[in-house]
Amino acid sequence: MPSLESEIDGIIETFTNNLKQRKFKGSRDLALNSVQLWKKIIGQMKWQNARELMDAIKQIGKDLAETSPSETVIGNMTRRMLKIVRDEYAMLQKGKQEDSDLQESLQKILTADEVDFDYIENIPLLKPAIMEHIGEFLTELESSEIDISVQALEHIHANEIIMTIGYSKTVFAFLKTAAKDRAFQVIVAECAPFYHGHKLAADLAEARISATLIPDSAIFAMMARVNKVIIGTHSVMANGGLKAVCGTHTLALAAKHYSVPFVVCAPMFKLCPEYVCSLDQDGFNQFASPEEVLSNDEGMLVSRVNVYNPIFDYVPPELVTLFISNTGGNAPSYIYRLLSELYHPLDVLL
Amino acid sequence: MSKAVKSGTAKPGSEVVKQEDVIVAILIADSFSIRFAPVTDLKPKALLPLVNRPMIDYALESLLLSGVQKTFVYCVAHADQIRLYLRESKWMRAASPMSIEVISQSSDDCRSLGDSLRDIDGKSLIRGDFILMSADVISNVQLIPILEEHREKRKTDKGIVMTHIFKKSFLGHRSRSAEEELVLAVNPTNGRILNYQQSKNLKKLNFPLEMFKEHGLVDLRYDLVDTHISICSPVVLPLFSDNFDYQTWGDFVRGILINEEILNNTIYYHQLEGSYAAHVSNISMYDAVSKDIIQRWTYPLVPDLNRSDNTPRHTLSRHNVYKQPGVTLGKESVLEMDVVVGENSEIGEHTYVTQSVIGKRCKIGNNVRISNAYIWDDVIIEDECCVEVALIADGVVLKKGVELGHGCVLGPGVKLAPSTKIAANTRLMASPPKSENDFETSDEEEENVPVPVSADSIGYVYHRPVEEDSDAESLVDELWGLEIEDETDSEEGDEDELDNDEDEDHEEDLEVGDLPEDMNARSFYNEVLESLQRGYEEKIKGDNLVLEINSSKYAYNVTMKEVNMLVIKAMLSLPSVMTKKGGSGTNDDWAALRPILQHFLPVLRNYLKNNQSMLDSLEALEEFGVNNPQFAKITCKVLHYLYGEDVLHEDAILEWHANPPNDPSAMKTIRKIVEPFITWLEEAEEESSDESD
Repeated sequence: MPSLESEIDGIIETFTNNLKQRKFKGSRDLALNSVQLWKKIIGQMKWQNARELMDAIKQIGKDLAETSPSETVIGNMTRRMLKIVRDEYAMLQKGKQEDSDLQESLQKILTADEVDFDYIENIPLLKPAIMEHIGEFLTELESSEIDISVQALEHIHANEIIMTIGYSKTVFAFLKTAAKDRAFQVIVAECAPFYHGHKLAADLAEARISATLIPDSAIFAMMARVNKVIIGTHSVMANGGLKAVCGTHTLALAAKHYSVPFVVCAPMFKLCPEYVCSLDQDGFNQFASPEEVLSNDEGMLVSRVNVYNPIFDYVPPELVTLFISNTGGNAPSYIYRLLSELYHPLDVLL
Repeated sequence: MSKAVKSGTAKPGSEVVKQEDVIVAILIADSFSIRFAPVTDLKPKALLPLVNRPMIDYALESLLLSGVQKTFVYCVAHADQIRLYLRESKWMRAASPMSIEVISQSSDDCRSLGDSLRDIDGKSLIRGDFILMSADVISNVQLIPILEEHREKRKTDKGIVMTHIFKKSFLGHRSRSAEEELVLAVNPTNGRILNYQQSKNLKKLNFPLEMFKEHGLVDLRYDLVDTHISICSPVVLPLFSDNFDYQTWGDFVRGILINEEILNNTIYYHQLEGSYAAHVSNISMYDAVSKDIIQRWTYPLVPDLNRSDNTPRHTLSRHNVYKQPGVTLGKESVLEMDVVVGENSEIGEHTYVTQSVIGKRCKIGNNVRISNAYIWDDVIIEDECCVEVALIADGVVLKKGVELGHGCVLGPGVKLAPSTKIAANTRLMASPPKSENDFETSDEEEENVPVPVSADSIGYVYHRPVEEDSDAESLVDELWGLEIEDETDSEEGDEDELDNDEDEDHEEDLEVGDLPEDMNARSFYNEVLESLQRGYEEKIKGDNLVLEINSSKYAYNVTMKEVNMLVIKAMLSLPSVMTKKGGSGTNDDWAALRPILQHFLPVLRNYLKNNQSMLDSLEALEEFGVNNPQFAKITCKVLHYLYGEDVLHEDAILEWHANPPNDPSAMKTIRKIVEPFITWLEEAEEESSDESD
């Protein structure tokens, strides 16, 4: 019989392995899987009090984040878990019902002398409370895509021309929902060298939405006739900037030039309390194999030319008009506020 | 498959996964060569650092990423070190989704890939298809789809033994190893390998004509590079065990292709699309693969995504500069491009580093120039040194002002005194070369009187053992240095590990038109005769005889047609050989021959499978009859007997009879003798066809 600890190790190892083998389809899948992983870990682990649990979560979370440093979602979920533990502990400790803590006012955050708990008391009710909270959170995650797409009709109007880039499941669901009631056109930038745009164009055509596929280089030329840009993103940084697929910055600048609204569909779990600290791509970007840009077969060329294939672009918050999250629309300048509700300030640095 | 992976990994202790579902790999952690000497004297090649990570880690990681569940690591040289390393590593942890079993063998018992596979076969560990890979392979290939493809092919071709993986690289590609240039003849429609030749140093290649006759479409490929990864059917291991001539993969492929018609085994190729695989076979490949890793062709096996157990991740900055934590850079030092610096290394002021790897805890002084160098752990390089195109192993100390020529290799622990200049392509090691093991002539030894390269230095020039073709070998080293300046040099060619095989190949290809008189066929005939005689006297089983004959066939490179003819001839002459006298020309001959033929029926059935082989044997029968007139009398009896035993088919006999004989004199004798039999056959056929109407 394997010991409890090695069993947890096994669960973690499976997760990291799946992560390395790219078994997760999209960041929502990753978020769901990591929360389920946390649920298992917290359920199986032996802990005496919240402090112990939080330390363990931090430790494991750090390890997980190291496996795939560019996947901010993993770090976000770790922070969410810590926040859940803190909230539940505080609630049980205070013994009062603080439903929808999210509505805490700015005033209160700034002025109230935060009763900092030491989290050492052993509360038997804590574990079931945490598990229940995680369960709720899982439901929220699962419905996030639908929650976003129901807002589609507020943003897409009849006969509009929408531009997007690459493939985002959220954007696809968003467009599909709007297409039920309105007729509009979509221009898809193909997003070289990964060409996820091809897939989106095909899927849109299948859903009977008029779609036009263009090369990335034609973004600017096409922008003049576009009414709205709607894109997905990999994550939203703490300042409201985007870490999105390579080519998004070009799109955002073109939109800015023509004053076209630049709308980003981003569920809450993509909000990340980190900043882009330097213009150097260090730790922010990820470089994939140059294979997609230049085939490795090309003998002379490969040996003599350096080829780069970055995956992400950073889009500064000034270029973003609106974020649509599962809780509603928000301006980039409001992101910091959302973050303070999602994560505890002490957990920002894991 | 992916389901199996998931369920199999969930609980480390549970062995519920079915045996046939487990994806097994064999990792050969020895290259059976001394390309990296003297560096590999104390450390196995699998543990040499490649961009600050032991080579075996890359291989294991790529297997893990492919979803392999069980890996056998087979180590020979320094097996204890590999075992120790793996035991401490994350690979052996209980939670690891891939279980690893280390098998070690002493280097006396195992000197080649063939030996190791024979050993594995002896242990009967493998039951299903498996992945065979060398521990010095770096790849990001998803192997499972190729394994599936291999299984899919088996549905149409039962004889499939191996799918070997190749990568396309055009000429001039840095990851084309000059040592392993190859030409492959393939059938592009079904992916079968038809011919395999190592093409280094060859100006001319020969291909058997039959190949083009048999296959409608033949591609000759010179743009493929061997990745040293193959998907093998379980039958590969017994094939190695059956044939002790198979030493390398090349031997095996050649053997299978030559014996194709006998054993019906086929080899397929798989060309990689969009993924990377390369084999670190020598130092220039080490250089090329390191550069590929740094430039991220091996993604996700890159320094900033992989961390081994006790070393932190590298961070990546612009121009592919990777740094581990704790790196100190001096004022105005430059890490230009494609540089990796390991943990806690210090780089002095005004030092310039480009396209190099620096290991952990190294100390590089001021005004040092390092380019295209691979510097391992704990190396100290003092001020004003110049290191270009070099490999510097663990713990080397270069005092102030040392200059290394291009292509130098410094073994572990070498210390060079100030201002020492080392000529290009020198290999140095810390201890004087051992003389007691030298089998060379005495004058050779005197030349090698161990003298350090300069006073106050610890460093002795390493000479390669003379058994290897040392002249050619040094060309490889030169190549490493030269490659950067002029790539056309790579065509100069280089050392040839398999010189003898090469020559054999050459001969084989020349004799496309078969000449039974030639030496090989003659020796083959004698050998077959011997085997048959012994086989008859000792009543050896037919299957074993077939194996024996096949191995002789391989040894003497005779064609299938010759085998068919010579085996028949040998059988027919057996009675006279055994009794040491010629045939009497009477029915006694037949009485002597009959039990012999009866004993060898299984052998005959094995060889005479199709129409062509039957025609060959009939031709042989005829020739034998012409050459031995006293035998001619019983030809008819032999024919009748073989027909009766269903060894020769009616169609073949009639076809043979319809064609005029090669030797006109046969017309009168043999054909006349068999006439009644043929008439009888024809009548019988007519009758049967009448009946069927």
